[in-house]
Amino acid sequence: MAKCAFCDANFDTGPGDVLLVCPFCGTAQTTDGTKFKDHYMIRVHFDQSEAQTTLLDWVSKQLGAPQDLPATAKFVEYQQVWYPFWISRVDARTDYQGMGRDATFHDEWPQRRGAYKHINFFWKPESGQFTRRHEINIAGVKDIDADVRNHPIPTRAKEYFSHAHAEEFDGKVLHSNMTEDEAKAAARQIAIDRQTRLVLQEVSKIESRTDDIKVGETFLIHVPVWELSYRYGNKKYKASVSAPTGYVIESQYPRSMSFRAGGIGVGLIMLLIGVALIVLALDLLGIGAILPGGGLFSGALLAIIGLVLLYKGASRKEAKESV
Amino acid sequence: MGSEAESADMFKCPVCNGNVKTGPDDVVITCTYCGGTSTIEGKAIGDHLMETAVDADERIQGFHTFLDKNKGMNKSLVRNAQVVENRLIYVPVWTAKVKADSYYKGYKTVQVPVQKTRTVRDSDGKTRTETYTDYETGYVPVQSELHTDTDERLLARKGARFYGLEDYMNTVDLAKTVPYDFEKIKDLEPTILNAEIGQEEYEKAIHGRVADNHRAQAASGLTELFDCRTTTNVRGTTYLQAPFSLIRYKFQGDLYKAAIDGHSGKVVLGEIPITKGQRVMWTLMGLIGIILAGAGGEFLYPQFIAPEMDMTLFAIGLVLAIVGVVMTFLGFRVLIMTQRVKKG
Repeated sequence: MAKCAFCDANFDTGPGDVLLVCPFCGTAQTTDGTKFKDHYMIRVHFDQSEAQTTLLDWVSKQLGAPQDLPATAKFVEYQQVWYPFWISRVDARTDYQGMGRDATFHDEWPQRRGAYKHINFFWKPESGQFTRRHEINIAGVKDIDADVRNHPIPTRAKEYFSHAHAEEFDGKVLHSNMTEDEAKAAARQIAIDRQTRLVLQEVSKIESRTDDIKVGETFLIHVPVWELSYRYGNKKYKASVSAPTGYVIESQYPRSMSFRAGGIGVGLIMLLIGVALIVLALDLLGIGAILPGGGLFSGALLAIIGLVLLYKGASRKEAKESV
Repeated sequence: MGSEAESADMFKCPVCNGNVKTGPDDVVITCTYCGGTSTIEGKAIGDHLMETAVDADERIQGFHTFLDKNKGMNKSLVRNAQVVENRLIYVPVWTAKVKADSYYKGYKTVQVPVQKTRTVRDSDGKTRTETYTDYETGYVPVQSELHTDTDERLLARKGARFYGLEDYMNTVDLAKTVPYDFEKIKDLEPTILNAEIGQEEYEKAIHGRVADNHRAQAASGLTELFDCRTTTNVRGTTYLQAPFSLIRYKFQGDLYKAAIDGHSGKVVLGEIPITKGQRVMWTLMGLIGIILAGAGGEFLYPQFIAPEMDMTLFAIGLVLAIVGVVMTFLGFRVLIMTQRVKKG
């Protein structure tokens, strides 16, 4: 339980929540009541019914999705969740000294000029610098699906956060588990790691380095996502749809019985015919080789395709829209 | 509190004194009244250009042309594609000429043919020596340079991307631009996004991108890259607004999308449905492929066990086998694909 430092309302918080958004006045604040100003959002452009229609129309084109899916799927859960992300700009300059690999070459091949029989690696001191500007995006909550986490920030106008807007859709605004300082520290560490990777492309051992890391403007942005789940047959399927753009971030979907039966049946038949052709071609039964060349080729192709179809028929499926 | 939020959202245009509503993170602002463009501190920015845009109908036409070109045997695609979204959005783009010079050093390996002799025992139990060709590794030192001078474009929004972004950015061309003039495009009712990435930030980001590209290009032909040093020189940095549109359309109840260059109205990247009929046809082709590959195998096999190879039969067999395998692969790939993705 926390008390809003601005409107005095009491509201619920979870363990680990450190940057809170008051559900009544919408002010972002730290646990000791300091207001946080750089707090933005991206507006919802797809309401609940639009998000659901978009999801079903998109999912119904997936391989083996049942024809009647858009008509018969029943949405059983729908919640708009506002995920917090910290975005930081980090200017980094790394001067490094270290040992890089190099090599000498000996004994030229007479039949191929320029190519040598022997290579001797040695270490040589190298130094240099990398200057990069990194844009770092950190999820403000730990408990976040990897696909939601990696979905790009939509190309829509940012606005100052408005709790009234989230309320229009009964949105659940997640508090951030990270303070601004923690987010900056994390961004700094990520920038250092990226710089290290750059340096390690140039030298194999770093002997000394000086990093000049400046964490620039850092803001918190809440991005709305429709977390939906629908029932088809007796199973439930979950999906996440981006509320600003309508992109399907990820969705589980059913495969029709006829598709499964077809995939497994045809796959099995093709696999069996394929194996039979190979057996006959190699004369494993001792009755004389039948179609020794063609059997091998066609048999192998049939067996491979049979296996693929079997897999497609039997596997459970999740789909993601490529952005 | 309300008034405070409002004032932070407003920017006073230094040219016409108009109050412009801005996004919180915008750094380059285009006045919605006079079209003047300045940085958030009110400083003038060099040339501000734009690509003109075509209207919604012309974009639909370009979209239909794209469908028509890629419809295959699905004759009803153009007629039955029902457009559900076709909004024009002007995105901020930084572009510049970037000259980059790299020096790199590394090595690659090659296979060197070496004549060798060995002792073999023939069927009569006698030993004789024969020569054969073996391959050994040769190490080739490489020291080379890369020089490029390219147009580099960057979407001036933080952490943002959209469908077809890379393909769209490649169509952005300074030669197609005119000075920014909101009057020319306001009837199209576009959404205009301001830049969140400033000039200096763009120039730094682009240095990193070009240097990383050079490194990747240098490393691609080598076994190991020892060293790669790149210097870049960015010139002629220009800010422009570029029109983009995402078309979403329904075909047989399913949803597809296409990215449109708003300047020409042409599709740059789009999804094409695959109908049942097409899947059946491709599967048939795959099955024919299996038979062809089998026939090819029948031609090839005897050539391998025969004492003397008949080159004609061998060639026929090889061609049949390759064509058959390719047909099988392509045919069954379409059977299990969700959709096709085509460039415009």
